[in-house]
Amino acid sequence: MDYILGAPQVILELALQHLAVSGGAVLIALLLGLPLGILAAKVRWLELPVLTFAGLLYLIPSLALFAFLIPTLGLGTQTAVVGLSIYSLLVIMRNVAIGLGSVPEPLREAARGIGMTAGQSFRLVELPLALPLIIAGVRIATVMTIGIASLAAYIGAGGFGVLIFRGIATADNDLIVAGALPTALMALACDALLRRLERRLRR
Amino acid sequence: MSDALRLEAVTKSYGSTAVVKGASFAVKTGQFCAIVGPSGCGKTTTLKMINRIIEPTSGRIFIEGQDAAAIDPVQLRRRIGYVIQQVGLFPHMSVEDNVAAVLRITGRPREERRRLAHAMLDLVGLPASQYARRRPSALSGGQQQRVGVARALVADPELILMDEPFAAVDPVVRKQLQDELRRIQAETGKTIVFVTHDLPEAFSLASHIVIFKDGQVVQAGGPEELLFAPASPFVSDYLAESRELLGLRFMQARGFATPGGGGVPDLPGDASVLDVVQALARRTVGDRLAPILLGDAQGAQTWQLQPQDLVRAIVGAVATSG
Repeated sequence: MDYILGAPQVILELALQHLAVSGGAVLIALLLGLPLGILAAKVRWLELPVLTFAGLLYLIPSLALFAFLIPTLGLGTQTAVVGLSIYSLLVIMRNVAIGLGSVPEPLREAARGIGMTAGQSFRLVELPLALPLIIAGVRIATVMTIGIASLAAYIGAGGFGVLIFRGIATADNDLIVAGALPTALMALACDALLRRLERRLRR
Repeated sequence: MSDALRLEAVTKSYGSTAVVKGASFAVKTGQFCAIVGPSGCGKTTTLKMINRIIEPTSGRIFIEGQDAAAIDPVQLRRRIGYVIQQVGLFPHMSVEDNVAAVLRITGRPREERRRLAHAMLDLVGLPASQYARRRPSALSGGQQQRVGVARALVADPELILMDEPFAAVDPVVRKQLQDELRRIQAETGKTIVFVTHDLPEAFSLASHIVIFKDGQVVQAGGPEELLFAPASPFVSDYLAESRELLGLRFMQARGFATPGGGGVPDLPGDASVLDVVQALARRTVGDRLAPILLGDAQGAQTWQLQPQDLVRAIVGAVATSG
């Protein structure tokens, strides 16, 4: 606590790094996961292989994944962002697929029956109805990513992990808490923010 | 070519199983046509082939003389109103937006959408001022189906298809909805094709009834034709099951009789048309055309019912039952 209060500008800098790494990872996962999830929902036979593949990636321990990526992407932020996005990808993709898949059949039939094109049915009916589940996926992915992003410090991407690792190295509990506490707070804040958005959409 | 709809030898097969086998029938413009039959007879499949939700395996369907297969399915559906049993209102849209969605997808201006949607809500008995802004989830089942009907009407379609629209609502509300639909059909003069397994509903609404059995049309015609000239024992049996539901039981026979006549009454003064039919059935064959005397035990007032009166009563019962 003393450390946090004593060095606010350091905390702020680490917070920005942490947020950039996590936010970038979730953003990439969203950009990839949305179309892949739609594909999985629309092309039925693709659903299982796509989700299984994402599930397998999810199982790779994060430090090992970073290690795999270093030879190609090097040390630093881009490796952390890419590595973390893989974890979010599964959650987001799955929620997109489940969300679209959960639109009741009578609603699809009604949309078609009143003369909507496939695009109109997707834009006006299926996507809006799937949106709360998609946002829920983004929420889970964000919270999870902020937590795992602490490890990004290990490969030189900065963030609150820097304090945690330094604390571990010097057996300084105060320093560990100074890294862990803001990480948790950031996760909670983002969770609350996205939950509010989700609730607004669910109404 | 005054047929609003004509089916010619329409067949639908899934693999080697034929669900609809060579169905042919026609519906005239402004007619209210009910498709009835036991469950699994192919009536819903037939309906869904009309707006190409299901594509026929063979045969042709003509809408206003135009081959439906030659019209783009999306354009075709925009010309045809569609009401399904599960209602299918979009839960994330207001009642008004649900109705207006049909106009939105064809790019009609916002003001016009609003005006037409409100007019339709008023027509189906849901005053727009009160209901337009609500979500479908805030409405009862019967009210939701009214919105479904408004949605089917709003684009002023040539033809409206309804797939068991009132099957999921309770009997009292169903009766109300049937009355409303009869009124709306009379007011708008729309051609309606209505699938139901509820015979009293079919007889109460339709001017033309198509009976399906095992994927085939077994008879098509007016209600009287089906009742009095069944084409096969199946039709006769099928209608017999519900005859007492057709209103004969609830209609007083003396309304069709002439006051007067002496002797011992055959039946009480408040006997129903069905009672008369049953009493005649108990007579010997030669005696069946003799008049029936209705009256109270005291003989204070009597009515005489002639055979032709009875026919009038039965037709009346068919025309107004429900």
